[in-house]
Amino acid sequence: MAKPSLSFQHVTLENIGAYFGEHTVDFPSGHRNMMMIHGNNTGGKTSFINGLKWCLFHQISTSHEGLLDPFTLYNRKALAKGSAHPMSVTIEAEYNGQPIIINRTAKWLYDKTRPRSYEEVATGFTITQFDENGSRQPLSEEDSERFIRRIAPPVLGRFFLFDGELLSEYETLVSRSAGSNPKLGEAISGVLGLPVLEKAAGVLQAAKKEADRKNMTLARGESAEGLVERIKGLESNLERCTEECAEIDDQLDALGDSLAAAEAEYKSYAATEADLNQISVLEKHNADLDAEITRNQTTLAKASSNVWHDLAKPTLERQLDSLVSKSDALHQQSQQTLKRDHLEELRRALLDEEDCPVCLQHLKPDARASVKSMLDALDADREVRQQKTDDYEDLIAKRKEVERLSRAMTPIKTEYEMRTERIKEIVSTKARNLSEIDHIKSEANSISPDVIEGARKKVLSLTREQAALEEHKKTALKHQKDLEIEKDEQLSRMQSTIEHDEEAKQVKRVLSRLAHMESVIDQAKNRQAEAMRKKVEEYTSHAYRAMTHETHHAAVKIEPGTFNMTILDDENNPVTRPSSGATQILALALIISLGQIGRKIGPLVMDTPLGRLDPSHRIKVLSYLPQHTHQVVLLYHGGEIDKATYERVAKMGQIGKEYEISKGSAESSSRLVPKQSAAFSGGDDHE
Amino acid sequence: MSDFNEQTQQADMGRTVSLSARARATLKMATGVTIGAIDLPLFETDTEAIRFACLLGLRYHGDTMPPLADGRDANAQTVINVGTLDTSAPSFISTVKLLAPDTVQKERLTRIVRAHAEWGLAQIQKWIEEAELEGDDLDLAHLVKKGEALLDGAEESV
Repeated sequence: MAKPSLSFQHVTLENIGAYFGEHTVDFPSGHRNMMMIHGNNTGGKTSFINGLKWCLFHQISTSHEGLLDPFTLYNRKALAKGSAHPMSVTIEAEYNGQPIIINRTAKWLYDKTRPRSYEEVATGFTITQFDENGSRQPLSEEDSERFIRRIAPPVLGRFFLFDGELLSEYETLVSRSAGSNPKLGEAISGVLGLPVLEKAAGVLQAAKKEADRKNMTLARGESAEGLVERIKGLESNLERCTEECAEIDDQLDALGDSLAAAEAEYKSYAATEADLNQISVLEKHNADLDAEITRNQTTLAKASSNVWHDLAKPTLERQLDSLVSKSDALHQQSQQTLKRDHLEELRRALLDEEDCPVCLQHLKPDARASVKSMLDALDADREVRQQKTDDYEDLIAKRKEVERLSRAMTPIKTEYEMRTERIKEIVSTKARNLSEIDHIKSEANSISPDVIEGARKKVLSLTREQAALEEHKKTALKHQKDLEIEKDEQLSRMQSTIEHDEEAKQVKRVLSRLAHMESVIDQAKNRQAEAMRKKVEEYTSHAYRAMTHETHHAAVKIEPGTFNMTILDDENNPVTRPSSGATQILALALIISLGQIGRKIGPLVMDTPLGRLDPSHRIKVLSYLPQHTHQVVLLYHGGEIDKATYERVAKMGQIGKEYEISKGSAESSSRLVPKQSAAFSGGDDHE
Repeated sequence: MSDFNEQTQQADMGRTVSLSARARATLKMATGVTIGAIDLPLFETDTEAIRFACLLGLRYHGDTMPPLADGRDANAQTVINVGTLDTSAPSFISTVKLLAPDTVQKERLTRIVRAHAEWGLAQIQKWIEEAELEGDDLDLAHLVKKGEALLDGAEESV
């Protein structure tokens, strides 16, 4: 796969460093891919490269000061001019063949207040892409920042946008005594893409941690094996329960047969039993009749004591009637006697008085004589009348006695006859009952009641036993059902657990795969690191050999991990004390090789990289660089490249663009002035 | 209790009634032998049988003494105290005195009771024998009916 590349086309600096106002630089392309920018010290070379760093990385790294405050990059004149002069860098480029515009701007936060620090400026960053129709598609600031970090991470800046002073860092990789530079090692690893594997390893570690956590969670669950054992136990119980139910069914069948036989036997006795019941009813009836007879006999026996009343009462009543007649007659006579007594009193009173006591008339003498004669006759009959009175009283007394006795008499004949008839009826009924009993007995078979009772009890016993067995079966069936339900539940749980286990197995498989992948990645990382190291080693050796004039230096050895470099001579011995020039060549070789092997984020922009090199080395470097980079910008001053060197380079046909940083004595700002090609602009002293 | 009854009872108390052997035999049969469907003897006790027999004789003969059969006195034995016949109301003795006032004036009460009872028992014996002979039922109701029939004829003739 082709490595993504960022090729600059135009860069416009506005109020950056020494540059007041807008200054556009056109970058070379194609075969003439080298751009040379000449400038004297303080002219603006570093401002140019720092402007690019600020635009791409929003930070300005330096070898000595670490990160440079971006506010220092703001052109002082622009700041003095006011808020209408923002600081900005615009890079028109191609990314993977597609046009792209990268722009970073810093404006005054307050239009009327001159900013005194970077916090007082409002920065903006925009990447504009173009669609198929050529329409601008600006990304948001956030997306733009994300996009630029992806294609041009700051760590790569030191390899493509560096000034000559940074070479000293690379020289530490050559000098064993200076020790390793971890940051540089990391940066080299980043350029080589090794962090991708590191990142993959990190992702794998996170995945493995998650899988371990999942595995632990799953391990806390109930194992399927335990559920299987439980289900086996349930199936065993279920089997026993089923067998028990079958046994009960067999017993019920046998019991049913016995019961049917017993019921048939008992049913065969039904007629006999009915006869016996009828006999029992008749016998009970007879017993009741006997009791009634006894009651009647007792009543009759008591009544017999009054049987003489039946003979006495009629004659007493007749006697009473006679006495009543006689007494009534005597009573009538008695009333007449009373009347006579009253008249006698009147008459005696009449004789005693001269006048009548009733009518008060004077009684005549003849009348008086007549009254006296009557009174004498009454006196003569007085004993007879007294006798009659006595007889009457006796008669009344006897009448009362007869009446009392007669009233007390209670003849028994009627009741006796009635009860006697009832007894006769009862006796007759009883006789019929006995006759019927005899008839039933004579018609009935010879089966005894005990046999029938035994058959009945047997049926009852078997029925009870059957009910008990059915109840037992019901319980067993319920137990069976419960077991089946529980088994289903356990099966469901087991299924869930199996799935659970499947998940656990899957997690284990994932863990295993992750471990394997980790191992693979480790191995790949090591292999890649080693491969990249070897490649860098090989390319660096090639570049070093191409750029150095030390003919006995045959190769460069790069230590794994630390990227410490050792120059080997043609006998494969390390060059313990390489010259500073060789060291700088080696650092440049390393940078070039990293640019070729690693990621390409843009042109190789080098600020005064040739300061320590002698002319022959400079020629070699300048001839090698454009051949092994897709764009190279060399910011130099007159001390680095003299006219002869320049002409030799120009003859190579690699220079595509040239600029002169112009800073006149009367101007407070630098300018980037395009030059005609192959026109040396260095100082005369380098001639 | 009226003065009349009280006086008569006090006067007759302590006296016993004797019956002939034949009458006693009838008495025994009437109180011990079951004749008929109801399975009961005619009389439950001798007292009841003597009362009924006495009344039957009294009714039949009226206020007169029936003649005693020959030899009956010689074999007579005391059967019951006359007071025993009058232990419950209405008074049996008073009834006898009312039904035979003249005879009471002439004869001792025990003798009157014995004479009528002997006659009545003889009649009962006759009916028992007839019933046994004919195979008929014989109970107190029958006795009353037979007695009424007998008395109706006798009283009509009187």
